[in-house]
This record gives sequence, structure tokens and C-alpha cells, in this order.
Amino acid sequence: MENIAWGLQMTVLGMGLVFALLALLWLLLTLILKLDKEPEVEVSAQEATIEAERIAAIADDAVGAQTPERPTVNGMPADLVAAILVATHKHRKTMRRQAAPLVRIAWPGSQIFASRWLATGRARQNNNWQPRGK
Amino acid sequence: MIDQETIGLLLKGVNGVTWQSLVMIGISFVLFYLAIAKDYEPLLLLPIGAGCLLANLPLSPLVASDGMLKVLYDMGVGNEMFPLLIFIGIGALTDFGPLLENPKFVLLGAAGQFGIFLTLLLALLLGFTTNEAASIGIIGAIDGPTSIYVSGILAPHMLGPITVAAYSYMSLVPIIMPPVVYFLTTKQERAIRMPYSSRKISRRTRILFPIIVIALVGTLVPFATPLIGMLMLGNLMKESGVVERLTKASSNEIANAVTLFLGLAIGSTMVGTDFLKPSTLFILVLGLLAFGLDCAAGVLFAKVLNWITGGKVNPIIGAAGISAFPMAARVCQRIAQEEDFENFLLMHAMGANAAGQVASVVAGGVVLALMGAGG
Amino acid sequence: MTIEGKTKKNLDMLREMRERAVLGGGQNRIDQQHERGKLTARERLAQLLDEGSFQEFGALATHDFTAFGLDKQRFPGDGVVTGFGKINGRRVAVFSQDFTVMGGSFSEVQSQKICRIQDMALEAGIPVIGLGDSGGARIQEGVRSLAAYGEVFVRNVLASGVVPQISVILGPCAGGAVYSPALTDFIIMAGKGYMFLTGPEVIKAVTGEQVSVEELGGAEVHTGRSGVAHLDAVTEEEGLALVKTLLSYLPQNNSEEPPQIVSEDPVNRMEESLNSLIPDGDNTPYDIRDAIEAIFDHDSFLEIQPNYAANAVVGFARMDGYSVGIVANQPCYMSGALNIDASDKIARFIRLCDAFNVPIVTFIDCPGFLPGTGQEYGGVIRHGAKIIYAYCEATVPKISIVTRKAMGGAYVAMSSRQMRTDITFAWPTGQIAVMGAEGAVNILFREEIKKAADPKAREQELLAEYRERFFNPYRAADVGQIDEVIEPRETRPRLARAMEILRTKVQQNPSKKHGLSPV
Repeated sequence: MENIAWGLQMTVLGMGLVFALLALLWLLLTLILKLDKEPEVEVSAQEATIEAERIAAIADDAVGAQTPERPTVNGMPADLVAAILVATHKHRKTMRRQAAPLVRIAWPGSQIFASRWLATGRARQNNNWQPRGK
Repeated sequence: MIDQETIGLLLKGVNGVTWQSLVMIGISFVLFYLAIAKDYEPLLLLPIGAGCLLANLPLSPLVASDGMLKVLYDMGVGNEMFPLLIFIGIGALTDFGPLLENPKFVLLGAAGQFGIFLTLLLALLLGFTTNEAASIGIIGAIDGPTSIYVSGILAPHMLGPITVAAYSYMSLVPIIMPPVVYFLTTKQERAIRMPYSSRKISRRTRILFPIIVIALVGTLVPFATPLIGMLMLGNLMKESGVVERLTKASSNEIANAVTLFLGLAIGSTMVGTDFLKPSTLFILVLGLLAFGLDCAAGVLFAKVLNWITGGKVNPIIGAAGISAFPMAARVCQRIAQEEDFENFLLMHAMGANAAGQVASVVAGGVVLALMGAGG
Repeated sequence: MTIEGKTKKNLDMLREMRERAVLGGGQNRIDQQHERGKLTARERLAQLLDEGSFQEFGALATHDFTAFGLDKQRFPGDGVVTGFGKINGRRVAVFSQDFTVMGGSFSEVQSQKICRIQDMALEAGIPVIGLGDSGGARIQEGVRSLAAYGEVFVRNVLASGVVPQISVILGPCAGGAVYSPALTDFIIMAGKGYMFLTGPEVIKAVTGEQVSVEELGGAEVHTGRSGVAHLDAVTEEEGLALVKTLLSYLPQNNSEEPPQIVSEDPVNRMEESLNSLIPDGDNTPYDIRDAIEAIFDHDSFLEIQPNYAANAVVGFARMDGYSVGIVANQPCYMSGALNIDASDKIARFIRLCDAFNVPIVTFIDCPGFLPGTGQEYGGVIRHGAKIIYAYCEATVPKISIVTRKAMGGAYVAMSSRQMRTDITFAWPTGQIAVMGAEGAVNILFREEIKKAADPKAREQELLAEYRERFFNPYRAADVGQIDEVIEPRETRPRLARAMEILRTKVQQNPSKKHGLSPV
């Protein structure tokens, strides 16, 4: 029982001290920042997160803080990258199968080659025409 | 000629096998498995496993009076040098910017230390001595070097299990933390989006920060001076930017070499007769409890902050008020995004996390001071 | 600027009518259609066409019948969505029957709408794609509905061979509704598509046969047994994707070329696996599709009617990005012998390629026509003649490759040199002979075998001698029936070069109304 009493005392004192110390630190930090006089700017959550990721990436090297992260490729989860790869590959394959404009020698409706339909059709229309006076 | 004596000498190794050493060798295999197959803190658990295996081989010369493991132990663990050297490296890799931008998160770090004391109480109830109980409680800070430092002073005989527990739970953060958070928060709370504002932290502030912390903490809690001193020394080297080579060396070469030595030395303390006691099991369970309570206390305190600020603090980030930097923050971010994919609170969580880093060291010092031990 | 007064009223009215047209037979019916696992007419068009490319004509057309309560069932569009759009940038004319409007039943107004886009497509020279989902004629309109079919049929026929026509069967198509697809170049069955002239009830009443809709006119029946349909797909989406794939091998019309894509497969690729493709045993089967896959551009082969008459393989592929039609015997099914169904399949495909300027490559490994009374009574002579007729008539570049057996009449029929085939290749494994060894020896050496001391042994001797002398491609090469004997692995480069030479080939048939193909 004596131990418990001591323990309770420890808890109250300990937490009190920790809080007090850190509160003091807070105060000091706020003071320093006041002195700094740097303006606060609104930033978007995404921007902040990118910055945070940068900081986290450096700290990841620390011994004893390694996150068992999923494998990544250039910062994207590897399975996502794999899925994107498969999807693009499949899309590419479909594009080739369907002779989509991108994979064709000439874009549909291209004016590089005159339409033969038009050429033969016009030729047929004009078959009997003779210039006047000939 | 082969006589009785020669045979005895030859069989000395086999005869020296005890059931305890066999069990400990088995435990070293478990550590290898965790490190190699499960990727749990391999940098530490693998050397620890190796130290454990080497120390428990029959008549191991490595733990004899001038064996290498013993020498390593005396060189850096007995006198607390290794954890302090590692702290320099951690300081050199930690950016306290997120904390400096939002100094009020310092308090979240403080709340995150509450579990330490609750566990201490529980350990006392289970019949541990005051010194042992304090060492077990410190596991809750999820800070390997601090745990080693504190228990090295207060209860050197429990160094092995405490270190293993501290580092294992550190890598289990992504598994242990989410259920605690989910249990204590509502869906609406988890979906709270926190506004971001950024201010440029001047180089002067960044340099002043470690110096002030050293001076403040060192004056008020002298027992924390070695820990906070080394942590902030590393940070000072980083932020000053003038000793890049030292920063790099302490965060890479020195940290790596010391990690190897530390792991081996800690492993060597895990000798069967000392380790295989029911108390070890209690340490592991209590350590886990300490961790859970730390998270819970952090979340609850964040809820209080949320109430005070009128709904501007997402309680999830309270859980990041522990030491595992930046993993705890990452896990918080993941939990938040489970609820709302577009919720980004990583930066805030990192602030709380950095505060936890400082606070756990302060807590370690406070515990030591209250115990009247140490320097 | 705000629009007020009469103009505003007019605009509002148009907008409201358009909204109603988009709903077809109403939201209830649309939900029912979805419950059946089918898409609506407009959803199908959205799947088929490039995004935002569809422009509709006749969205507000309605009928003016009053009999049988039709006056109460008047829906804008009258059960068909017609217009023009683009598929991968190419202009197409489309019509999509709307099952939500009175079961998609075919009406006079529908016919007028479809005929209108058919006429325009024929003048502009662009493909017509029909998505069928119609229960048949609209009985309430009586004989007018039948007349309406005729209008569509005649345009189908006039457009036939001028622009590609593709039909996709996505729902029940009965009675007259199946004949318009049957007149088009391709029928694709997908989703819950059925085709039959008379339904199960009528069949039961007339002949007493009990048959389910699926057994009577499902995709399996028409792509397998009857050969009415050319391709099938499980889902509507896949079926509509097949249209796009199919279209990629076809030109916009009969005076243009199919699209060419940038090839990623080098034309000089030697395919070593081909050298070991032909097994040692004369009658050991192998899959000709392996050869096709290896020779043509990687992953470009689209087999047409894969399940019908599997002893012949027809389909499209690409060579150096150019569209090619492929005809081949399939040694791993019925030894590749030709029969009635295979003849029909091959002949139709050749005519299709010829109409749309797609060069034809023929792979020959055929022991002959399938013998038997079933075939002879069924008119295999007449059907086999279709192959000959089609090959002789075709003016597109034609190249043939003898891979193994090329025997007798079947060899002549399968794109032989003298039938206006431009270039003939043979692999060294080729066996080009007037007939099989047994038959030939028995006819040529009957007396000699009789007289011999040991007739059996002498026969074997002569057989071996015959095989040695004639079962190779060199006799044929001697007389110029084969232009070149090539190593199998060289096939791709040789084919590519041959096709390059023939790319601008122009050949003419005597002018006539039309030939008399032995149909």
C-alpha cells in the first residue's frame, strides 16, 4: 500500500512536472515566435502535407522509427503504380486493337490523303462534261 | 591418447547446454523472424537477436569477463553512452518545424506521457519494486533510447526485456494505435478538418530552439540533461547547417555503428536464467498497456483541446503525442484518411509527434529526478 | 439577356420535348430494361461512340396511327434512336432500337428514320451500325409495318459491298427483324440477344417441338451451328467493343483503304518457332492459329466465326499495320478437310475482303473435300464451287502459302496459282500432289501390283516411292505453281514484302450486272 501511495504521488507530481515544463516551453516558444514577427499565411492542407512528407522522409532514416511502409515507386504505392501500369498497358492494347486515331498512320479525316471516295465519286459525276466550245 | 579428460573437454559444449539457454536460443530465432520476415525494426531486433543467440550458446566466450559482448556492454550500455549517441543522430534527423509552427501542440506531447505513470501504478500493484515499475512505465513513451537510458540506471537487470518491448512496440505502432483511436473517437470527430496556416520559421528561431530547450530542461530537470542535451545537440548541428559533416556522421555512420553495438550488448543481457522469469512476461504486457494508455491519454487530451478551441482540433492527432517519429504521425494521417480521403492532417500530427519526442525525454528525466537516481 | 414571351415558350416546349425523348418509353420501362440486365438504346450509343460525338436525327418523330389504342402510345422517337457519330474518330451512321418503346416493335416511322440515315451513309460512304433490340413488326400498324421492312432491306442490299454494315443483336430479334441484320456484313450477338424467325410458341404449335428461346436462337446456336452470327460476347459492353475492333480492319467504304496503324512489330522478324511447327507425322494435327499469331503483327488476329465450321479459320490480322484477311485450313479439326459449312464460311469471307479492299492470305493444309453421302446430298459441289468462284472473282492482292497437304481439287480451290492468285509460297513441308498416295498408286500401278510376286510388299514399295517423289513442293515449283519455297521462319518478312509489292494492285473484271455465284 505504501508503494501505491508513493506511485500516486509520483503520478501527480510527474505529470504535473511534465506539464509544467512543457507549458513553460510553450510559453517560451510563443515568445520567440512573437519576436520573429514572421507573418502567418494560410496554406492548403495539400501543401502542408507535401512539406510534412518531406520532413517525415528525412526522419525515416532514424534508427528505431522505421515505418513498415508498403513498397513505393517515386512516392506512390507500388500496387497503385502496378495497377496504373496494367491499366495503361491494357488501354494501349485496346487502342491498337481498335486502330484508335493515336496509333494510326494518318488521323481519321486527315487531308494528307485525298478521300478516294470523293475522288472517284467526283470523277464519275464529271464524266460527261465537256468544256464549252470543244 | 584420448583419456577421460580429453573427452570431457570435447563434450564441454554439449554438456553446457541448459533448457534455459535452449529457450533463449529459440527466442533469438523469434527475434530474427520478426526482423527478417516481418521487417519489424530490423536494424535493432536483428543485432539483439544475434547478441541473444551468441550469449546463450553454452559457455559462450563472448560474455566471459573480457568477451566482446561484455566489453560492448561495459563500454556503452552500463554507462549509458550508446543511447545518448543514438539520440544525437535522432536529433539530427528530426525537424521540429511543425512543432515550432504550432507551439500549443507541446501540450499534446505532455499528455502522451500520462500512460507512463498509469503503468507505473499497475506495475507497483503487480509487486514490482519502485525502480522496476518506473522502468516499465517508460516503455509507454515508445522511445527506445530513453527506455534504455532510464532502465539502465534504475533496473539494469531488466534492460533486455524492456528494450525488446520498447522497440517491438515502436514497430507495432501502425497496429496498436488505430484500435485505440477508433475506440475513443466518433466518426464526426475523426472527420474534423484542421485549418492550416504556415509561417516561416526563421533560422534564428530554429537555432534558438535547441539551445533554449537544453538550458530550460537542463536547469529544471538535471536528470534529463544527458538525453535532452544530446537530442538537441543533434538538432542544433542540423539547424545551424555549419557542421554538415558532423550531422551526417552522427545520423549515419555513428548511429549505425552504435546501433549494432547497442543491439549486440542488449542481446547479450538476455541470458536465460535472468530472462526467463514471469516478470518478463509482465514487462511485455505492461509495456503494451503503457503504450495503449499513452495513446488514449493523448486522444482524450486532444478532445479537451478540441472542446476548448470549439471543434478545431482533430482528436486523432493526440495519439501522435508519443515518441515514434514520424511513424506515429503517419499512422494518424492514415486513420484520418480512412474516414475522409481528402483530410490532410499530417503536418499537425507531425507537430504533436515532435512534441512527443521532446516530452518523452522530459518525462524520462522527471521520472529519474523523482526517483532520486542517476547523476 | 433573358428570353421572354413567345420565344421563351417555344424554347421551353422544345426543351421539354427533348427531355421526354431521352426517356424513351418512360422511366419505368428504363428501370425494367436495367433489371433485365440490358442497357437502354441511348446508353448503348454512349458506349459505342466517341464521347460527345453523337448527333441525333428524328428524335421527336412520332407515328399518327390511332387504331388499337395506338393514339395513347405515342413516344417521341418512336422506338429507335438514329443519327451519326464517331468511333475512334471515324464517322459512322448508327441506329439503336429502343426496347422501352412498345418492345422496340418495328413501325413505319422507325423505318423512315433508319432509311434516312442509310441513304445519307451510302451517299457519304460511311459505315452503318445497327443495334437491334426489337420484338418484330408492330402488329397494330398492320401491313404498313411489313412494307417498312422492305424499305430497309432494299437499302441494306444497295449499301452491301459499298459501306461496311454491322449489326449487333442485343435483345430479342424475331421475324422480319432478323432479316435486316442477315443482309448486313457482320452480326455480333451480345448480352441477351436472340434471333429467330418463328418463336418457340409457334414452333410448338406447328411441329410440336419443345425448344427454349436460348436453344432456338441464342448466341451459341448462331455462332456455332447455324453460322448466322459472326461474333459473340457475354456482355453488351464487350459486344460494342467488338464493333470497334472489327471496324478497325475495315475501310469507310469500297473505294478507300482500311486504317493503317503504326506497327510495333518489325516486319523482318524471323519466327524460329515456325520451323518446328509442322509435326513429323503426316496426319498429326497442329493448330494453324499458332502460325497465324506468329506470322502477323503481334496480338492483331481477330478470328471471325471461330465456333462455326472450325475446320476452316477465317479472320483479320495486321501485317506491318495494314489490315489483312486470312483464310486457312485448320488441321486440328477434321484434318482441315473442306465441307459445306467451311465452304460457305470461306467464300463469304473472301467476298467480304474483296469488297473492302482487304488483301487475302491463304494458308493451305487440306487433304481434300470431306467424302460421304451427307456432304454430297447436301450439295458440297455447289458449296465448294463458291470458294472457287469467290477466289477467282476477287481482285484484291491474294497470296497463298502451302504449309503441308495440298491435294487434288481442294488445292485448286484453295487459292491456287492459276486462279488469279498473285504470289504462291510453300513451306518445305508442303505435299502438293494430285491425290493421296494410296489412291494414286492403286490407279497408276494396278497391273504391276497384281503381277508382282508379293503384291503387298510391292504396293508398299511403290507407295514409298510415290511419297518420296511427289510429296514435296518441288514438282509444283518446277511448273511454276509455286513461286517460291521458303523456310517457315521467313514467312513474315516474305509475306510483308509480297504485300508491299501488291499494295497498289489494280485488277478488273469484265463489266457485267453481276456474276452468278453458285449460291
